[in-house]
Amino acid sequence: MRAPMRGRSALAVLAAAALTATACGTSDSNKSDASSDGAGSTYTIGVLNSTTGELGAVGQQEAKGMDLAVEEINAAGGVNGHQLKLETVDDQGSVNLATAGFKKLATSSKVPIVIGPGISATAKAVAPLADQYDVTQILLVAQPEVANGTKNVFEVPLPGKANAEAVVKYASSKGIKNASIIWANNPYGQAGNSDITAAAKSAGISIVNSEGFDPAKFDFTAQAGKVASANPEAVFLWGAGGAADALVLKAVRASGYKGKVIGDLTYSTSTIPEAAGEAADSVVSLTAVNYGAPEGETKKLIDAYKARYNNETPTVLSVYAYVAVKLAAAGIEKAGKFEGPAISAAIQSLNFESVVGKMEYTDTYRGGPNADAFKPVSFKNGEFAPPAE
Amino acid sequence: MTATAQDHALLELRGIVYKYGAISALRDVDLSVRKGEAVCVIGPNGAGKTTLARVAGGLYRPAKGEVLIGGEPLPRSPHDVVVRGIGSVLEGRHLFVEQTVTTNLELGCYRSGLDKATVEQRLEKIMTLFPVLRERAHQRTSTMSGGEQQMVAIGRALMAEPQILILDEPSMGLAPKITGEVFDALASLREGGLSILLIEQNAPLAFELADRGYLMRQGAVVVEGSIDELTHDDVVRSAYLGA
Amino acid sequence: MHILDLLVSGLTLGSIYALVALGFHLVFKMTGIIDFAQGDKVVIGGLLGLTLVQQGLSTVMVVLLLVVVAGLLLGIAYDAIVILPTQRNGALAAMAATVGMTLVLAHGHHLVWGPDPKPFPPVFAGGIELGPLRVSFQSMVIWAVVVAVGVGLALLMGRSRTGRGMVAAATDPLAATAVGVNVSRMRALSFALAFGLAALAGVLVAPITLAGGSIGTALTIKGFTGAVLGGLNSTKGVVLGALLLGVVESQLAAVLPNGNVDPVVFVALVIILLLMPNGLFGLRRQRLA
Ligand SMILES: Nc1ncnc2c1ncn2[C@@H]1O[C@H](COP(=O)(O)OP(=O)(O)OP(=O)(O)O)[C@@H](O)[C@H]1O
Ligand SMILES: [Mg+2]
Repeated sequence: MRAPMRGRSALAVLAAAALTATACGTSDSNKSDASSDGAGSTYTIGVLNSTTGELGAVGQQEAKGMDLAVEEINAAGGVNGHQLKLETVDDQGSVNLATAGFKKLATSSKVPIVIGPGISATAKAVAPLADQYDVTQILLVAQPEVANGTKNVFEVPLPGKANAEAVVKYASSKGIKNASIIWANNPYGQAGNSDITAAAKSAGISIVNSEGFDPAKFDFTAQAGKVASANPEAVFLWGAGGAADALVLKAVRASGYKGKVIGDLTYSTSTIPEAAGEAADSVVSLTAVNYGAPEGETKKLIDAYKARYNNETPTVLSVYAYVAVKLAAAGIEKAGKFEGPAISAAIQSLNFESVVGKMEYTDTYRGGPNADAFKPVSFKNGEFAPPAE
Repeated sequence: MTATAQDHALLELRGIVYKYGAISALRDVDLSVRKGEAVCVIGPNGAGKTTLARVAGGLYRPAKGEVLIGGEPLPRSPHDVVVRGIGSVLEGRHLFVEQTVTTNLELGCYRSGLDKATVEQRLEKIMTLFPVLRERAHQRTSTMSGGEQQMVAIGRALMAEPQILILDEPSMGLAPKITGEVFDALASLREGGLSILLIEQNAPLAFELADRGYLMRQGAVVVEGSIDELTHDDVVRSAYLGA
Repeated sequence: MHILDLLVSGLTLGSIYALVALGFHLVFKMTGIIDFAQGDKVVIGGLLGLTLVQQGLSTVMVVLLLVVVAGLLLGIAYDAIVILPTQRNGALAAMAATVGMTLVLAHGHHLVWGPDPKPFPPVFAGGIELGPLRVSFQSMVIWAVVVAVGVGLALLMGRSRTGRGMVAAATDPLAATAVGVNVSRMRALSFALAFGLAALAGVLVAPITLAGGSIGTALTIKGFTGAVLGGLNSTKGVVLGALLLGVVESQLAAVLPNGNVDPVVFVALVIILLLMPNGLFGLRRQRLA
């Protein structure tokens, strides 16, 4: 998954660390009584994520999706007769706190399964621990290489590389022959830039120019102007998951560019139209959730989420986290017992169908669904809509 | 101190104790200045002279004792003291360095809220007292010589037309010629009826101007009296008059 | 792309920096303290404005007025809570306290308003077209406010009695007290003005930068850079420095890879400060007495 780390000064990061250092802790310290396997006892799933700190927004969105999933499962009678419960450790986006938090969940709370983290640095730090402690782990990051090669680690998010392929594929389907890229200058955006460049090359689309933007800024006239003057058939946008994404889109249209604008999944956030205005109606985002034309399970999820959370549309991050809980529940159910290795084996054999696509894990591939799982989404008058053509 | 001195005291310090944390800088100091009188305080480095000047000028509040001006206690807030007719010329001059001579002088009567014409009049008086300042009126004070700066400092204190001027080592770092000019100006102010409390290390210079004097040592007054008495005091003679 | 387009957006960017830089200048000149929370105060102003707009207030002038008044009051509280307790320990202690405040304000508004930046309706919609060049009213208002605040500050500090007292209190608190300046009141007034200015700036720039989020630090750094570049001591200097920074940054962004713009700007700043320690437009080097 992307970590929307904006280009912040060391000062701000220090700030975050200093201010939140005292606020660390477990939000729910009730011990799991899962080891006694009798029906009716509660199954506690560990959650490791940043709900405070600079990247607190990530964990907060994910928490909402998880809470909703747990409520739904419990309302339907739980898993094999056991109610589910989440025990959350806030790692504040810190590698040290994440490592300590994982060990606490594994040894003192003795949970057999952990969901999260959703930030690549912390995910990379704790993934090796899962095999060490025989705990199943479902990461919320979009980098399959973090989970590949392990026995107990899986990922739900659709890989970033697949997102790039989907963007290019969509462009090809519209007959695009040349394009520019504007990408957020952070690790997520840099990877996006090279993935798109590679995908475009094999699809026969020539990239006429490629511009990075600093997601901590707000004036992108220069980048947009450069792209507009090259006048490509399409502009690919790769955002940072922050406010700047919408402002870049707005600047591209303000520069007078009239061609197609195709974005990664950061452009399927409901706040894009608010900040980008009319420009939002002309962006097509390749994203994991079919916001534009939701039906079936997707529609049910969006409606339930809106009902639960003050009419908010779930972000992609919320949906991933929701799916992770559903995947965990299915795994536990199939395993028939509440033990790490058994759950891992079950999850791998499930071929779990979700609203973001099918989780086809193998011994070597542990990432989320591939490029075909992305759906094109746009906006109309500020609301999600299917692309115009 | 004579009974008459106390009765007609313009500025009076009674039993002043001042401490910097654990350090006692003033230990039970009494001092008075009568109307129209020039009084000097001499003493070695660290005797407490500057502390005394600031307590007398209302800038520091003593731990014990009281400061009276015209028989009334000083106002509680240091920034109100100027209203009661006390002008302070601080040790080291303390000018508003980024500002011009004129602005420094004008700030001297910041508190009185005078009309422009009166301010002009007072400026004119200062320029007459220190003619060099006239041609330097628009120079920034940080670029001036020590002597010129001292003149600005005195001029600034005079702008509020105080009854008493407290000067803390005005001769410090000045060439003898400039020192002479400054002290001539002080003498003429005294002639005009201004009371003066002069802190000075240069005893012969101070004795030329003053009527009475105090010798301080380690936070206490050790000798006091008329200039005549002081010049004949053994302690003063040996330590300050090179005799 | 047009050099002129970039000039317009650079001037607007520079004006945003200038509003922050003027806050740095005001506080420095009137208290001797460098207040690093200036950018975060701007963010708070924008969020306060957003709250008022969401409450249904639609008259721009009323929103601006209320936000400025709130800013002035916050400034007085800021002085009492943050600056006053450090006063016995000098300007450095006060500056350290303001650095701490950057964290408190940034996280504080994340707690109250949430961490995400929020769109802010344009305060002044529309614009004018000069041939291919489009200048929004929003930009023009920001330019005008920078000029007005700059001139107003220069007059306040250079000409008015209170302003001179404030500058005197900052230069030499003891001497200022001796001539009758209430130094602590002046300090409170300075921080009130600085917060008021920041709050005003917050509403004006929010339609461009969005309200809230994590822009505070960037504003602080760029505003400070502009101020130092031009000369922290001179009103004209900080405005010109900030404008120059905005324009140069925009033009550079058109020719350099984006990530290289800030490093190039900062290296240039260091070189300029080595050659001209008082900034490009600051007071000339002092002749020693
Ligand atoms: N801010 C301060 N903190 C602590 N001690 C101080 C402070 N200021 C002065 N002192 C001490 O108080 C005593 C009196 O100092 P003061 O400056 O009043 O002496 P002075 O007679 O004016 O000396 P000088 O002739 O050197 O100016 C000294 O021992 C000095 O070290
Ligand atoms: Mg002294």
